[in-house]
Amino acid sequence: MALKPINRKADRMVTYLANQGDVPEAEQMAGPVGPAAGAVEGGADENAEDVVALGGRLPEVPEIPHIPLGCSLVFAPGWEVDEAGGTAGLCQPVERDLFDCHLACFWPAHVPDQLNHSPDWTGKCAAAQNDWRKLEMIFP
Amino acid sequence: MADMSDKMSYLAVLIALLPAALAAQEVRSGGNGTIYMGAYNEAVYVIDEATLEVTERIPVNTGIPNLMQLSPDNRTMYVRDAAMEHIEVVDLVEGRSIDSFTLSEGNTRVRIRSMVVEPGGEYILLGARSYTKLLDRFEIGEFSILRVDLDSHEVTDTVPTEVGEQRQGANLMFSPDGDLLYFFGRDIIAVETENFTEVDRWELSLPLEEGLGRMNMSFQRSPYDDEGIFTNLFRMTDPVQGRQMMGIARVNLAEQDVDFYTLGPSERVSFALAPGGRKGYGLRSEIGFYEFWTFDLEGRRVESRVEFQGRPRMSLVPSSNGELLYIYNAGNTIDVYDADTHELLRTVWLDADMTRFLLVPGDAATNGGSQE
Repeated sequence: MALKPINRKADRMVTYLANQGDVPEAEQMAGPVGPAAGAVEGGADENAEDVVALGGRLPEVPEIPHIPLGCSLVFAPGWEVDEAGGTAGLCQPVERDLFDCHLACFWPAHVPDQLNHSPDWTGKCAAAQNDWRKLEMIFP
Repeated sequence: MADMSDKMSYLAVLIALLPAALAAQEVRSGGNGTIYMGAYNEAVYVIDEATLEVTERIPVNTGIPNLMQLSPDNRTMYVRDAAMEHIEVVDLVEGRSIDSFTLSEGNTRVRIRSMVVEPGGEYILLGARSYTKLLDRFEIGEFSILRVDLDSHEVTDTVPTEVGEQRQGANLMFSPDGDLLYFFGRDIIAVETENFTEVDRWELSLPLEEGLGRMNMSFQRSPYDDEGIFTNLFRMTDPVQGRQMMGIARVNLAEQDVDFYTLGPSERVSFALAPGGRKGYGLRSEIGFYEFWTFDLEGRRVESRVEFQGRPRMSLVPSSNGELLYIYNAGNTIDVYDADTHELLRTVWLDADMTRFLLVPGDAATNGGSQE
C-alpha cells in the first residue's frame, strides 16, 4: 500500500523510505536530511497549508546536570549541587549533610566509607556544624 | 525636679512590667514525655520533654546508636549501631549499657537491617544478611530473619522468609502477648511464634473496593495511635483515569478493618498523628518551599496549609500535649513551633548531631511506647 504524505514530515519519510534501498548505510543512519531537501522541492505546493511552528524548531529545554547517584563526585564541601542542579536542596548549613551521608549512605568522594574503612571518622566531632574541623583527615 | 519625677515614673513602669516580660519568656512545655535521641558521640540522650533539656547521656559501647526500640515497660532500650553489626541492651533505669553482641565472625560480617524484640524480652528477631570476604570476592548471603536468644546470643531459629516477600528489610511487629508476629509488606501476614507458620493473611495489596487502586501505606507506629491501630496517609492511583490520589486511612489490625477517605490529589506531604487522634500534621518539602499542613481527621479534610521558612531534611512530631510541633533531623537542633499558629517559638541546640529521635509520651508507659 502506498503511503500518501499529508504533511512535510510524512513527505520526508515517504521520500526516505522510497530511496532507502539506494542510500548508503551510513546515510541511512544519519537520517533523512538529504532526501528531505528534494521532497520539499517536489511537494511544497501540495503541502502549502501545513501548520508549522513559527520558530521552526522546538524551544530548547535547559538540561539538568547528570549527577550519578544523586551526588557530586568532587570533594568540595560547600560547592555541591542538589538533584536540580542548585544548592537550595542541600542540607543547610552544609555541615548537616556530612554526617548522614557518612552513616550507611557513603556519599562518594565527600565522606569516607563508614562501614568498611573509616568507622570512626566522626569520633572526635559530635556536632558537625560546631566542630567539623575535628573530623579525621582521610587520605586514599 | 520634674525630670527626676518622670524618670522615677518610667522606672516604676519598667519594674511593674518585668514579671510579665519574664513570664512571656517562660519556656512553653510540650508535655511530660521523654525523648530518647541517638547521638553521634556514641550515646543515647535522655531529654525531658517539658524543658527540652538533656537530663542524661547514656554511653554505649558499640558505636553510634542508630535503630532503637523500647521494651513494653519502657525500662530497657535495644540499640543497633550505625555499622549495623551490634545489638546493645541499655538499662534506662540504671542509665547504663548492660549487654551487647554481634553475629559477625572472622571474615563474615552480618549486617542487621531491622530488629524487633519479643515483648517478654526472651529473644530478638533480626532481619540480616551476611557478607563474607573471600580471597577474590565478597559472597553475599540471602536476607534472613534470625531468632536470637537474648541471654545466650545464639541463633536458635530462622523465620522462613517465604511467608513474606524476599526483601532487603522487614517491617515486623509482635502482638502484645507475643503469640503472633506480623509482617508488614504489600500484604499483612500473621505468623504464630512457635514455629513461625502463617496463620492469617490480610491482602491489602488488593483494592479495598471495586474501582479503587491498590493502597500504598506505611505501617510506622505512631506514639499516639492505640495498640494495633495505624493511622497514616495512603496513596493510590485511580485505575480508570490514572490520577494519583491521597487520603487518610485508619487500619485496625485485630479486626482487619480499614476506615479511609481521600483528601484529593497526591502531594509530597508527610503525616504525623497528633495526640488524641483528632488532628494530624504534615510537612511538604520542596526545594525552597516548605509548608505545614494540618489535617482535620474529624472533618476529614485538610484544615490549613501554611508556608514557613523550613530547610531541607526535616522530620516532624507533635508534642505529647498536642500544643507544640518539633522539627528535628539532620543536625543538632530541635525547632519548636506552635501547633496552632505555626510560629517558631525557639530552637534548642544540642551538643551532638542526632541519628534517631524517639518521643515517648508520659502516659506511654503502659502502651508499649513507640519504636523506630
